[in-house]
Amino acid sequence: MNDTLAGWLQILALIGALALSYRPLGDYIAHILTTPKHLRAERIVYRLGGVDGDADQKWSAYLRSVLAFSAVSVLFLYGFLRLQNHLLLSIGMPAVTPATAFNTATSFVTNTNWQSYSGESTMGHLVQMTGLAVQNFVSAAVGIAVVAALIRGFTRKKTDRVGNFWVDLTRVVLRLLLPLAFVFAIVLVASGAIQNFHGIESISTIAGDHQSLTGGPVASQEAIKELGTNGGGFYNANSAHPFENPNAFTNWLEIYLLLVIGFSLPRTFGKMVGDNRQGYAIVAVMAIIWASSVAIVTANELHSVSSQAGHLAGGMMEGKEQRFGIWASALFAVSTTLTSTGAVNSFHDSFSPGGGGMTIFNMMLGEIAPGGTGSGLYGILVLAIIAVFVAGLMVGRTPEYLGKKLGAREMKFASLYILTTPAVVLIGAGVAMALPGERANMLNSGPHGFSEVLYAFTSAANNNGSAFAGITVATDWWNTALGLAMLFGRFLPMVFVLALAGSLARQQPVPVTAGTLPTHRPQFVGLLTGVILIVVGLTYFPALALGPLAEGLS
Amino acid sequence: MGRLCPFSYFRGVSYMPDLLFIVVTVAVFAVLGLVAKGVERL
Repeated sequence: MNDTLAGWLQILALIGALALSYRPLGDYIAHILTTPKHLRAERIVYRLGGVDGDADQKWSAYLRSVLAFSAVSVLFLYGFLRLQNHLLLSIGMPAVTPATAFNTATSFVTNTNWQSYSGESTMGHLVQMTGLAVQNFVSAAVGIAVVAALIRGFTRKKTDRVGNFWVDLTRVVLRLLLPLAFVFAIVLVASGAIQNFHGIESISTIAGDHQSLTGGPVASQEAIKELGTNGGGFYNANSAHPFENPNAFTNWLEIYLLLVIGFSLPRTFGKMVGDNRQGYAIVAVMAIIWASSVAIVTANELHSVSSQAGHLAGGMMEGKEQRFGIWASALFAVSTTLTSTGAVNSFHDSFSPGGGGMTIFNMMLGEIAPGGTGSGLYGILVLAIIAVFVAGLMVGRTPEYLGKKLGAREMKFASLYILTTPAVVLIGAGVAMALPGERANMLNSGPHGFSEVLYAFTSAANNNGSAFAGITVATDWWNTALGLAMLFGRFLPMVFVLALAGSLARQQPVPVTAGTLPTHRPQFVGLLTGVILIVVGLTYFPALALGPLAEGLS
Repeated sequence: MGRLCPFSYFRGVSYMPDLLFIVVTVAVFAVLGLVAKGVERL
């Protein structure tokens, strides 16, 4: 089978699998978030935590719970990393250095999973399993919990209650993420990913040299790494490593896993607001952006060849695994940067200017197509509010979305939301470029070097975690600066989303009239897509012009 | 560097960086809490 046919087949199979999952998985998540019944295991968790599972919280209490849980998680994981040499299954690994521990703790708690270390030479098995993997589950669940609160803001009326964070968190972990991760970990093991407790083993290579290979519980971490759009690899090479991602099938499966919850959540949204057409409109916008990005990156990697070696390879093969090729590498790169996953199966630094630039742009879009688990949906819903507001300005009516009026208060929260992440990205990248010592960590000069810095802060602030590479970030300054970018990039938007949820929940819905903007029709899909591209394009255009655009035109 | 934290029990380890990062973490979440307070007044 030639590469082109194989490439098309895997894309079509992926779209088919995601379409088949949309309805059952979306409905199931809606059921988890709305059923009044608690499972026995959940009641035990509530009892242990002193939580009243039937008591809903105000948005401010919900937010305090999110922040308290996350702060304790960062501190706990930090201590875990600093003391790992005293723990079981450390396989001889020393304590993680303070700056790396801070960066890693913030990274995994914020669902970013940026890694400034090599997993196989830094982390013991216990830290991988009970420190990092646990955060893979709960950080993904926090995202879904926050979007559940926002959806309740649309569905409830005249109340100041948006749900119970502890209930949402527990249910999403126990009923959704754990069962799915368990099943797919077994599928990955059956497909060749490793799962053991081996330590570091030295082997002789064919050339007569020695190589150290680290075994470990890889498949179990791999499943939730993709499913929870976390992305932190057991190995430094991430999903390019054959122990994590051994063949074309596991590669396809990993792409499916990192997309499936994000693409199913619009169905959950439609189900919860009582109008499935609203979900179809949102998922259509996500699908248009994702498909366009796949087309742009694949075309660039296939045809933007400037070297003789590239012509002989039939495309930009530098930095790509031979067993995956260009199509599967481009598909993975787009899917990982349009979600908040950040796992990589290729070296984004070696992509063409058009392809690499598109991966940065994907993250700059706020990772909303389909985005991280939960964070993608609340991101696109805030942009939908902006789109409805813009449409309202055009026709001179007070805008309303799903029966809720979008007044000054709601628009302040939406505006603060869309300004926060760009501010963190651009200020962070600006400061790094202004400091000669930090600028020296770039391994390339000129526009490509700037792209490396811009990519790092974009990845951190958008909680993606993928690395462009080509920049030395294992320093105290970079670990601290990117750690702060991850914390503010994750939790400041959550503050505004939950405030928005509270504001919407307090309103009495207004009836649909002839003047109400229909938000389920193709013209709204086009309007929302346009608003997303224009808002993001205008925000980041100057920075993109200095990096990938300048490189591509030079 | 010797012990710099009175409650440390691992000899020969400086705890200043640990204290610094713990303070930074607490400070960031305190700032987030203050932002939330401010948002409530909007």
